[in-house]
Amino acid sequence: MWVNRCGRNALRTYSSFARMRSIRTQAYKLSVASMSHPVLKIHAAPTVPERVRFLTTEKDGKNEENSKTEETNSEKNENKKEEESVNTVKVKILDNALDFVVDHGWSRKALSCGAEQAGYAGVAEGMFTGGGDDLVLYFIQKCNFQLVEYLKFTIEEHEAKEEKIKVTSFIRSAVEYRLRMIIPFIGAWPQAMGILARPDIFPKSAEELAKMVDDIWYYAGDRSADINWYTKRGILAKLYGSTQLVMLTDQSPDFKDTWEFLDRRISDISNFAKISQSVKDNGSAFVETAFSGAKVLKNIAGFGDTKR
Amino acid sequence: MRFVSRLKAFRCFEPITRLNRNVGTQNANPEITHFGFKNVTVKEKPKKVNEVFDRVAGNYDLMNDVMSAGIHRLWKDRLITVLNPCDKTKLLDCAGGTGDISFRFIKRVKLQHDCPEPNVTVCDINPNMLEVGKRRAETQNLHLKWVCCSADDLCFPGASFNAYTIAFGIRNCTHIDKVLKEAYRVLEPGGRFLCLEFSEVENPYLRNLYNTYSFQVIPVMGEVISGDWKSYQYLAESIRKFPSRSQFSQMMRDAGFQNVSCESLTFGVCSIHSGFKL
Repeated sequence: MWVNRCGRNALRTYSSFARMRSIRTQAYKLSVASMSHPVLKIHAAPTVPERVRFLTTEKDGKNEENSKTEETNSEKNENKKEEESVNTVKVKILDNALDFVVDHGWSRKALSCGAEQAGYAGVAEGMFTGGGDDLVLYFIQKCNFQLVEYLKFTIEEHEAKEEKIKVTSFIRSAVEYRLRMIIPFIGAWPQAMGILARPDIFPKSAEELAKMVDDIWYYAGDRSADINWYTKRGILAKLYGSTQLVMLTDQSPDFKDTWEFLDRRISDISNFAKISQSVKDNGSAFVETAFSGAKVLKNIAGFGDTKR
Repeated sequence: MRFVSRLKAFRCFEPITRLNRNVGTQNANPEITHFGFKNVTVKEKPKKVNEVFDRVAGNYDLMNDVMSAGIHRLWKDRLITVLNPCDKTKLLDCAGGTGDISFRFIKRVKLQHDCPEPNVTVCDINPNMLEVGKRRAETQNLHLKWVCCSADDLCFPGASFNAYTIAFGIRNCTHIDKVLKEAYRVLEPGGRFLCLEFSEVENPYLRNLYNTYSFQVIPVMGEVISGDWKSYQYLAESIRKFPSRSQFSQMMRDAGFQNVSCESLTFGVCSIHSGFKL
């Protein structure tokens, strides 16, 4: 009745959002599809292109001025160039700082050592207002970018062999590849997870996680425009998070136990999908059978009879 | 307007009535600059500033504590926290006469990084201020280099420091743009420029209170403690003539500094301007 109507309206709203979101995602993917990058191996340090957006929340005098005065096009271009050159230096320092994370953690000390290795003074780490938080966010952005390159490479390989992509194995290999990137920093990873879970950083880390699961499902071939868009990404995010936690305490050689855990969770998910599908198919028949006695009584009593 | 014209009848209110105009503006004539609210020639200003600091050097630290109720110590602590020095940092403390910033730098680097001899150079245009600083360093057994030179013509080679601080000194300089260019020259790539300076209070009600305090109370304190009204009148006036935060940030960018930012302290009484040479 009215409950059904509310539920149907909610589903319709969710479906329309999912449709808009999937259209926007497809448009974004098309815009970057033309960029070509070298194939990256696991653990190799790539040259980071400028597409890696640097997440900081710096406010400076320039921003205050922008809101108050009108700028000419030439001034805007100059500001943009200055921002790009500052970002290039920042990315260089962050890349070098990753070498010191094992010794100093995700901290300003690591940034300072990274700046010195990059050829700048140690005090240049003052450019990062968040300190170690900025380093963690940069690292996960970089990993996600590498992951997308790997996914594109996998698809090209399958297309070259003219094979159809098996969704389950594709997702499994994507999650394994992404988790293997953490292995060099596994000693400092609990600290990183703590930083990413902090309330002031959590919105940014959640955004990165959402983009990552969306990328994986998109390259797996998912073009759903209904409630499944949300459920698929939610399940993958949960899968990734639980496997990551298992990896932190795994002492087996080459993290064998973690990959076995991943395999078991993926088979659980596919089993659950099969069961839920069979419940949907047979559910209405089951309900009718269960209430068949009540239906007989109703017919005898004559309730709901339209013929007189 | 009628209130202001009535105020003008009382000479002691004259500085407040002049506050509404000429805050932070530059003169069209390049030979004329400001010394407080007066106009002087460019050649006269360094001499006049030197005379002011000759008079105040003796009681400089005491007057700082009295005028700011000790808050200047927190401002200077914050400046060193923002700088976050390591053992390889080479600091040039410009206009650092009595050594407040340098001593804090040395103590912090010794404590955090176990560095026995932090590299610090203090430079100031006024030898009397340097003498006060040297005496204080001797009592605390700290070793620094003391150099007497002007901030707009530094006697150091290029790229010889990686941190440059100027605390409450840049508003006394005749050519702020030259000071910034010299700071850029002596910094290494990645070096940081930090300027701690008085600025405009943001809240209008607090601003009126602060103006009254600056012009009515501080010169009186100066007269009572040091017997010097005019120097502390100049102090209050020079704060009003300093460019605004956004103007100064733009001057820093014009000198070549990047990633320029500004942090307000104590409701805007003070600001820390930061820029990097990249």
